[in-house]
Amino acid sequence: MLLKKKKGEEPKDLNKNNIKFKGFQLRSLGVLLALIVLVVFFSIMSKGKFITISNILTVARQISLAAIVGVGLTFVIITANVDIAVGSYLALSGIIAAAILYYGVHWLLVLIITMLIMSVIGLLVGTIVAKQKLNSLIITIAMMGIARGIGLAYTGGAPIYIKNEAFISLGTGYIGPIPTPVVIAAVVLLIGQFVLRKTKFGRYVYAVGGNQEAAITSGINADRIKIIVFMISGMLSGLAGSILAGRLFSGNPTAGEGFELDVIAAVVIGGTSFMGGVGNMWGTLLGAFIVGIIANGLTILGVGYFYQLIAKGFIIYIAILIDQQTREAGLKGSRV
Amino acid sequence: MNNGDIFAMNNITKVFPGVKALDKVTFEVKPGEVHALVGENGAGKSTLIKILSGIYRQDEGQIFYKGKEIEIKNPRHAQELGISTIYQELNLCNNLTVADNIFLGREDSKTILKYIDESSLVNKCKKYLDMLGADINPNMPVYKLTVAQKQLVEIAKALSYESEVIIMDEPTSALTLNESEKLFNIIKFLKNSGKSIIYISHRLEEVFKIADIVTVIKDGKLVGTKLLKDLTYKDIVKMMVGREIEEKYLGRHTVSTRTHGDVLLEVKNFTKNKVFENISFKLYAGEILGFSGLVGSGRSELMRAIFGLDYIDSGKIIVKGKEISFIKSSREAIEYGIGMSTEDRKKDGLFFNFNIRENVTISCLDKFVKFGYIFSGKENSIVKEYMNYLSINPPNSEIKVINLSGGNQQKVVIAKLLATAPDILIFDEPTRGIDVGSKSEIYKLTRKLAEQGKGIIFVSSELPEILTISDRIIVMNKGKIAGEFENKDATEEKIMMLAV
Repeated sequence: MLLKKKKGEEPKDLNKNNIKFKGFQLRSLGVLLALIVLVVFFSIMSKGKFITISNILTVARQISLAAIVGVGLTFVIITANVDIAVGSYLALSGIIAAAILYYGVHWLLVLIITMLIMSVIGLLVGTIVAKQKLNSLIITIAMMGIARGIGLAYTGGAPIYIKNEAFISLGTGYIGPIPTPVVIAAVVLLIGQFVLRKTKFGRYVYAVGGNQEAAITSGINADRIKIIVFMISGMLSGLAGSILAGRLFSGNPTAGEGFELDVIAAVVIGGTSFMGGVGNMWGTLLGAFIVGIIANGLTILGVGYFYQLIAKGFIIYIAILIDQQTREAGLKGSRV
Repeated sequence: MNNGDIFAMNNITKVFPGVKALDKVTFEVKPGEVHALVGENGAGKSTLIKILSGIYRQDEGQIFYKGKEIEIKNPRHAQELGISTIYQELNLCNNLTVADNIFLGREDSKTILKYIDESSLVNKCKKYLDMLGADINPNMPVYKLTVAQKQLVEIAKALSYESEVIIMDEPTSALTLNESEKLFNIIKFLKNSGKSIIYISHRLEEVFKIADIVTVIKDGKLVGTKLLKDLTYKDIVKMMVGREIEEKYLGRHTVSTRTHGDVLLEVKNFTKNKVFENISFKLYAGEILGFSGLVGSGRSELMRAIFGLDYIDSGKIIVKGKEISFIKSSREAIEYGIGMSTEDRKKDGLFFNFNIRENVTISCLDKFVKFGYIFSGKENSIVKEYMNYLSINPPNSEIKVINLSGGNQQKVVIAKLLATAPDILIFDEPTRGIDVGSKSEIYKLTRKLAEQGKGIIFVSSELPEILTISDRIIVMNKGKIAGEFENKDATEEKIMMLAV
C-alpha cells in the first residue's frame, strides 16, 4: 500500500451489468429485436410462405456466402480498414477454381490452391496498406476493378464450366438435412469468433483498430496484423467464391456484383464500426440474417430487385446512425 | 439569487455509468476574479466545467446567469453566453491553419459568399497572438506546431471571442516557464478588464501566484471555497486530499541509501539529424536518472529512439553489457528488458476501446498464452496483482479505461509496462495532468522500483519534481546534453541556466 486508504472508502461496486447494458449490448439487443420484427412482418405479409422450413433453409443458404466473407471483413474493419474488393474476389476465385478443375486436379486441392492464391492477393493489398500507408478504401476500390478485370480478360466474358461432382456439391450438396454452404459458414463463424475473442492475435486486432499508435508503443507489430487480416479476407473470399462456383456449375466473371454491399451492410449492422476497435462475429451473423431476410422477404412479396437495392442502402444508413448513437452511450463522452 | 455573480452553479449532480462525478456541488463566479478550481484527478473538476461549457447536462441542480436561471444547451450556446473553454486535450483541427482554427465558424459573414477575406483574418489573428507574445505564423498548419504552441493558439482563440468567462484547464501543462509567466500576465490583464478566469491546475505554486479565490473539490463533493489570502499551501493540500501527505513529497530529495549497481544501459553518441546530437550517458541499477530540459529539447525523441520506436542516424547502445547498434522495434526493446510509458497516454499509451485488464496485459500476453490461446484465469490473476500493487481505482478490471480519472489512467499505463518485468524503465512525464495524491504514489513507486535494483529514467519538465525524485540529473538543451548533476549539487536555477 503506497498510501493509507482514504477513510471510509470502499471499492466502488460497479455493477457489471450496468455498464454492459448501455451502448454495445443495447445495440445487440436492438438488432435482435429488429430481426424478430422483420420475421414477424414478412410471415404475416406473405401469409405464411416466409416462415416455412424450406424457406428458412433457403435464407440460411443465401446468406452463407455473405457470412463467410463477413468473417474476414469483420477482422479487417475492426482494424479500421475496409476491403471493398470482396465482390470481385468472389468472381475471380470462382474462375481460378474452374480453371484448375479443368485439368482434373482433385477438388480439395483446388479449393486449397484457390484459397491460397486469394490470400496472396490479400497479402499484397495488406502490404500496400501497411507499408505504403495507402488508405485501404482507395486501394481496395482499385483492386475491385483489377480483380474483376483479370477475371473478364481471362475468360473473355464467358463462364468456365465445372463438371467435377464433388466440387459442385460444395455449393449444392447437403450434410444431413443442412445445405453444405450453411455448415461451412457455421464452422467459419465459430472459428472466427474464437480467434477474435480468445487468441492473442484477436486481441492484437482489437488493439491495432482501437489505437494503432498505442499498439506500436505496446510492442505489437501493427503492420503484420494489418497484412494478416487482409490475407484472411482474401482467403475467405476464395472459399466463398469456390462454393458459389460449385452452386453455379461454373466460374463466372460477372459473379458477386454488388456482393460487397451485402457483406459490409451485414458487418456494420452487426455492430462492427468503421472507426475500428469494436465488433464481433455474432453481430456479423445477425447482420447477415437481417440483410438476407429482407431480400428474401421482399422477393416473396414480389418486390423488384431495384427497390431492394434502395432498401439495402437505406438500411446501411440507419445502421451507421445507430452505431454513432450507441457508441457514445457505451463510452463516456466523446471518443478521443 | 443575484449577489453579483456572473455565473452560479447550484447543487449540481452528475452521474456516469458506475461513477457519481458530482454530488450537489455549488460553484459561483464573480466578474473580474481569478477563481482557481482545485482537486485530485477524478474529483470532478473537469466534469463541472464541462457542464458549464455545455458539453454535459447536469442530472440535478440549477445554473444561473446574472441571477436568471438558464439551461446551457450545447457548447455553442455556452459560447454565446460568454463562456470560452480551453481544454487540456486541445481542440484544434490539425489540418487547418492557425488563422482558420481561431476563426472557425466565424469567417466574416459578409464575404462568405465571395471568398473568405484571408488577409483580414490573418491580421486579426496576429493581434491575438501578439498579445500572448507568441511567435507563430498565422498561416502555419496546426499539425506542424508543438504542443506548447497549440495551446497558445487555443488561448488566442478564446481571447478572440471576447468572452466574459474564460475557463482554462491545466493550461500550463505543456508550457515553458517563460510562456507560463506570459500567460499569468495576460490573465492579470484580462481580470483587470473585468473578465473572469476559472483556472484549473494541479500546480499549487501557480494558484498562489494568480488566484483570488479557491474552490476545492474532492470525490465529487465541494470541500470549500475560500479567498486565497486566507489559505496556505498546506491548507489547500489538506482540503484536496483529506489525509496527511508526508513532507517528503513537498520537500527535497533526501540522500539515497541505495547503492548503485552495474551499468544497466549505456547510450553512446546517439545522433538523429535535427533532433538530438551526440547523446551519451549511463544508467546504473538502483538509480533514478532525471532528464530535465525545456519542452522541445529532444528528451522524448531520445527516449523513443532508445525504446525502438524511432530510427537514429548513428550511435550505439549497450544493454546489460550487450552491444547493439540500435533497437529496431518496441517489441525488441521489451525483450531486452526495457519498458516505457509515453508522454501522452491518450495518444499512444491507452486503448480506449479496452478495459483495464486488456490494457494492462497487452504487452505481456505471452505470459498466459499457449499456441495462441489466452488463458483468462491466469490473465485475471496477473491483472489483480498489478491493480493492487498500484492501487488502481475503482478496483474492477472490467471497467473501460475511458471512465477512469487521469491519475488512474496513468497507473494503468505503468501497470502495463511493469507487467513485462523490465529492468530498465523510462517514464516520460508520468505525472502530467495528475493530482497530488497520485503524483505522490508514483514517486513512491519509482523509489520502490529503484530499491529493487531497477534503473529508471525519469523525464520531466517540472523542476520541483525532478529535484524530488532524481539521484542524478541530466539537462538537455536543443538536442544536446547541456550538463549533468548529482542531486545534492543541483538547484532549480542551475538547471534552468543550462536548459535555456
